[in-house]
Amino acid sequence: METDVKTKKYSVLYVTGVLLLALGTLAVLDAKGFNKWAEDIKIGKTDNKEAAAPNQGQSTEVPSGDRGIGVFYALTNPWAQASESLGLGGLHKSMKTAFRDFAGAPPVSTWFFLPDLNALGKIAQAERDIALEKQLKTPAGEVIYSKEKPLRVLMIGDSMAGLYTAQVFFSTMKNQPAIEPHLLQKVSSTLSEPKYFDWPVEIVRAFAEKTYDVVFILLGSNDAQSIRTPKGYVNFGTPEWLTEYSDRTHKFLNSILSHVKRAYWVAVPPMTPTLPGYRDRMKSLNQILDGICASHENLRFIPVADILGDKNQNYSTTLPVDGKVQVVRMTDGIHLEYWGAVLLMRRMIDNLAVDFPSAVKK
Amino acid sequence: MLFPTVEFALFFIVVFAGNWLLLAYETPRKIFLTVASYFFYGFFNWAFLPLLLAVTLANYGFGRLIGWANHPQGRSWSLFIAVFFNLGVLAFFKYFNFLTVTGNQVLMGFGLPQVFTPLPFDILPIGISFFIFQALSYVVDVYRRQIPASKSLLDLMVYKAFFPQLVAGPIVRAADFLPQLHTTPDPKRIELTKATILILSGLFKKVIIANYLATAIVDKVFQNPTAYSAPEVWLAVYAYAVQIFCDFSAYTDIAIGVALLLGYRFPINFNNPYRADSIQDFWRRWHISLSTWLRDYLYIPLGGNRKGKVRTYLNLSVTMLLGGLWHGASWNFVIWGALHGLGLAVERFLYGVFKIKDTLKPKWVKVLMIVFTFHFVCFGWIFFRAGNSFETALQMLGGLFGPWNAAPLITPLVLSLVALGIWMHFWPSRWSDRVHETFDRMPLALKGAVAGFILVLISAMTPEGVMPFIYFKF
Repeated sequence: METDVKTKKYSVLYVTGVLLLALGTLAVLDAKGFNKWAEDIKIGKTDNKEAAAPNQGQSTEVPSGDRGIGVFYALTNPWAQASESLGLGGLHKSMKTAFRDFAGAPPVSTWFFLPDLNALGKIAQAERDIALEKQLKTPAGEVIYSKEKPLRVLMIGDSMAGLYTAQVFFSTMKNQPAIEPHLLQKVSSTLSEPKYFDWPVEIVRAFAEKTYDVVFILLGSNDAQSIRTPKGYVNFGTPEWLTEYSDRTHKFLNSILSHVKRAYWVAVPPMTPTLPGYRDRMKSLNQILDGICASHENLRFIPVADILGDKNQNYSTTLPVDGKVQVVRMTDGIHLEYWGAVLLMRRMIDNLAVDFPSAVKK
Repeated sequence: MLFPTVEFALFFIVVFAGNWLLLAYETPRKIFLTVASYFFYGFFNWAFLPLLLAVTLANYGFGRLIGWANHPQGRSWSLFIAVFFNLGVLAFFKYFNFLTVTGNQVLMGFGLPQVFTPLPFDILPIGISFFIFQALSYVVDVYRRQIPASKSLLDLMVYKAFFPQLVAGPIVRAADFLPQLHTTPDPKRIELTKATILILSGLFKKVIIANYLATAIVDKVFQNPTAYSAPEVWLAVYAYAVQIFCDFSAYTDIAIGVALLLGYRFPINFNNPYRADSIQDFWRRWHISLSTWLRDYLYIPLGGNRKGKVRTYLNLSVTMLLGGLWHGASWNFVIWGALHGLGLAVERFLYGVFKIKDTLKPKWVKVLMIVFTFHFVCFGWIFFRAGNSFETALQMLGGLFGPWNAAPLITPLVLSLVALGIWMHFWPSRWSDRVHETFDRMPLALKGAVAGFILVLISAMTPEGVMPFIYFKF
């Protein structure tokens, strides 16, 4: 849009008027968005949100440890409430919904390819088969794992389970004769958006094809996003989101734990400070996942900030590994480099050594 | 501080007010602009403020030294020290870890122990390549006597740190900017229409087109190309071409718009690059401030086209190869630069052999050349986007000829954004003129309301979170 077209020149006062009107229009029609931004501003935080929002009654965000309200929130909240009660945010909301519907429209390929109408029926059948098999199984006692009878370990996840993590997973397990490694990985997959890759369905499909003893779950890095529900989208950070996400995750975990002896949910590593919003969301998500995992038997949440972070458990590009400083994170500040994957794998093996000592070669 | 954020809007309101209120007080106004620019830069990472200050002070000193020295040898030595210092800073912060990791890999290849230790912290200051190139152009221009050395340290501090262009360009030359600091901006001649349209279109390109394409297809496919079908890989390549254009040109559009509102002019940086009908034409339209920098400070000093055909081809290749390396410490950037260098050399050779003149191309040849140039550029983008992983680049190339399966990533949204991103290159300029004229004719209240409504529209369409601009890391 860079152009050399000759246009009129204006005075500062005129320009100020236009700018104020433009920002004013935005502030009126998107007061809620402005208020949401103010929630995250850390200036002048107090511990009590209700003190500044006495009429609100309920908190609208996921507890994340370092919360409270600040000056900006206190200033923008009455504005947002007034705008909401006058219905001024309606235009923004309807535009958002319309665009989201367009953005979430089915792929073009469905115009040409028939959807797999039998998929649901096949999955239901697979679930019945597994349930039947489980009933016939004798309860597992203390098992000694060996090369002949290996511990079958499945690692599942998004891109955090791919790239170097996947490579190091298999190379590490080569040195563990009593462990049989398997991988189910889909880049950018998430429990928040099953349309792209439906983990609850895919995991049932995986268990229908093969039995596993242990599952490592490396999901979450794409989960802190809005979730589509039958009633519309719920935004990350709201109680509705927390309810929906917890519900999905519990069901997913129940499904996994009904098929394996033990599962481990590996935390999302600390993220780069150059993506502060994403970093904070991942921190909150880890806390949520820790809470969810705590309510399941045979499931352990594995924190990793102590091994993949600096001494304050914050993001670090390099870390000492075996006495040498190594690059542990990729340049995107998100994924693990080779040595980061090595550190992660050691933590995973340590957990296996505690729960399945006969399977792990020291 | 990213442009499309509330933080920047608030920051800009303060800077806009301060800049014009202090109009009658030149020195306080320049101090104010410098402090504001340092605050803007420090917002990303306070730790690198001393670096920016040190580079400014050093180059002020170098400029004075070169300007002061009368003896040619003294001037040459002063320039050499200045260039060595600036390139040293760039090499240390940008290439140190790349060199240590590469060195260790070579040693590992020979079965030797790794002896190089990378620095234990994230060391790439945002926008370092831009402000170092800007510093280099300043000292070289002083050496060539194209501009006098700045006597005012404050002027140089404003020039080096001026926030709209600090972290991702355009690479504004001292010759273009310092004279603007010697005159007071006219408070009655602000180019509001041009600035508003640049800022709004920049926001739309970045927040909607670039961000959605990144999350909906580009990042997914480039992370794991083997997991996707051939149509998805093809579209991901086109989508990245659109994404990087919209991302980078958006930054410079907003930077130029913001500077205009403060009474300063920056040179244009993009001119419909995918409309280019040759690789040379592409580089006249893409990141113009970098390509002209490379031409003036690298290609011409190397001899340009004055030393015979073979030497010209070699100079082109070397210039583009180093231009590739400027983008990052990765072999993929080197390959990308080498591809363009080779492309330029071969193109120049063929134009010479077949005596092709730009103006004499028939229309159908021109169309074919545009399509070919676009695909050549897209081919280069595969290496560029693959960043540190050559394997990913190869997987992408393999994926282009992979199975032609169903493609869940090809959604109406992705298709329309890619189409829009390419189509905008071919809009007749009269459309753009008409938009400007229409906005000019609106009364004040309507101008504000229309701009506000577009901001609401962009806000409603914004995906979760704000991604940094791609060129921040260069």
